[in-house]
Amino acid sequence: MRRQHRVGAVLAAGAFLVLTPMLTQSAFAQAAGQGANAKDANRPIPRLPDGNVSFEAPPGEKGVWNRQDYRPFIPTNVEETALRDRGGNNDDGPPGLKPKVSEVPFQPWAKALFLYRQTHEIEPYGRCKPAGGFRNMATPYGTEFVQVPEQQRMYIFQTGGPHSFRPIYMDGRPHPKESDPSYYGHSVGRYEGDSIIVDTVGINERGWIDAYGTPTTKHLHLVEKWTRLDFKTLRYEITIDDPGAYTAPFTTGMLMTYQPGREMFEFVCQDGNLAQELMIGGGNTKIDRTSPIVP
Amino acid sequence: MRARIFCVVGILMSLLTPAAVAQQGHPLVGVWSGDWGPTPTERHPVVVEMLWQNTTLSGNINPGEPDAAVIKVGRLDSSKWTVHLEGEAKDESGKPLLIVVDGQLDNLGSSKRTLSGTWTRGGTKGTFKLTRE
Repeated sequence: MRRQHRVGAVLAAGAFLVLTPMLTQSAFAQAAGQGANAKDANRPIPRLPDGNVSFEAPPGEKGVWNRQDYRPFIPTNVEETALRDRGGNNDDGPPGLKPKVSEVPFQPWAKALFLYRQTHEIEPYGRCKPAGGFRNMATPYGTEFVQVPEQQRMYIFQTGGPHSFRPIYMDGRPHPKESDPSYYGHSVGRYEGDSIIVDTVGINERGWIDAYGTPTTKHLHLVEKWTRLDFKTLRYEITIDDPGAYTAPFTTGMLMTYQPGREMFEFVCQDGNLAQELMIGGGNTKIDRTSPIVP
Repeated sequence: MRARIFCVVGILMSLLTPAAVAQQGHPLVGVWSGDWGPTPTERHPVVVEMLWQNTTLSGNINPGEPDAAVIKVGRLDSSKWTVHLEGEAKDESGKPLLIVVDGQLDNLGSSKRTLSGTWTRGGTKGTFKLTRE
């Protein structure tokens, strides 16, 4: 009995010693972050040497963009609400940016599949697959833009998920007439004021374009628009045109917040990921580990 | 030498092994395989390929085989996830033979989803079960 007390006291003391500096550091970091955000709010929008808007961290600084509410649509009943949001999520974003689920021009099968996925969230992205469109921006831990004017292209790097990157060609080239569909598709872009407009085709049917399972087909055509509203705010809009799943094009989006001082880190999606479904396929089938070729 | 053989066998196996591809678009699109038959012991292997073009479901039953049939009617009722297919094959004498398939789609979120139900070939009625490859 006395021994149990002693062990408990040692554990409590250990937890105090370990957690106190972490919590204190976290509180200091939050306070510093708020201070930095307040200071950054009044900074001018950064520009590239050619005068175009920059989405990168200013020279000599570091920072990433983080998603705000990343639902593509606003649900108006429980059936339309993903399990993860059923505890409450009232952040609908700026007025007019996100349509209600009832306003999305789904084909019947696409609506049924979307509703099914609100309670069956087997998202390929969570299993390390790349995801284009909305999900390319709504990645955990931050997104980084790298603009390379001398090459007339830019890259979008994701910290979370597949920890991958997406090239966007800004040199005026057209889409290839024929190409193998891919997770990110083929993207070409251009500057328009303080926005970048990106047109994407050739996305395969192996991923979801957002975290909520908005269905798409091989006919998908995306037009995305990034607008830097001020130093710390980015407005992301995406127009989804897919006659295989919808009866008309529609637009949605989200706001993103610049977080100075943060940077990408090594994120290995496969580490500790126990979801064999969608990673190697095969549902509940066992993996034959006697094979010299790792599945 | 042994390592070289091992390497060559490995490359060949990787080329021959079909990739497990999760289809996240229209849930019927892809190649489905399984069997149908009038009794639990009399079963016939079957392959169904389905395509989705904007709003039209099409495809083939047993493509490349003597009993191949083009899917002429394809319907998905997504309120119940039921499927109705009709195709026209030819019997041994070359006469048209109607194939009618009515099935239920299950395990929708899985890359190995299934389709099962009744399969009618001419005057013979049976059951079928297909799994998406």
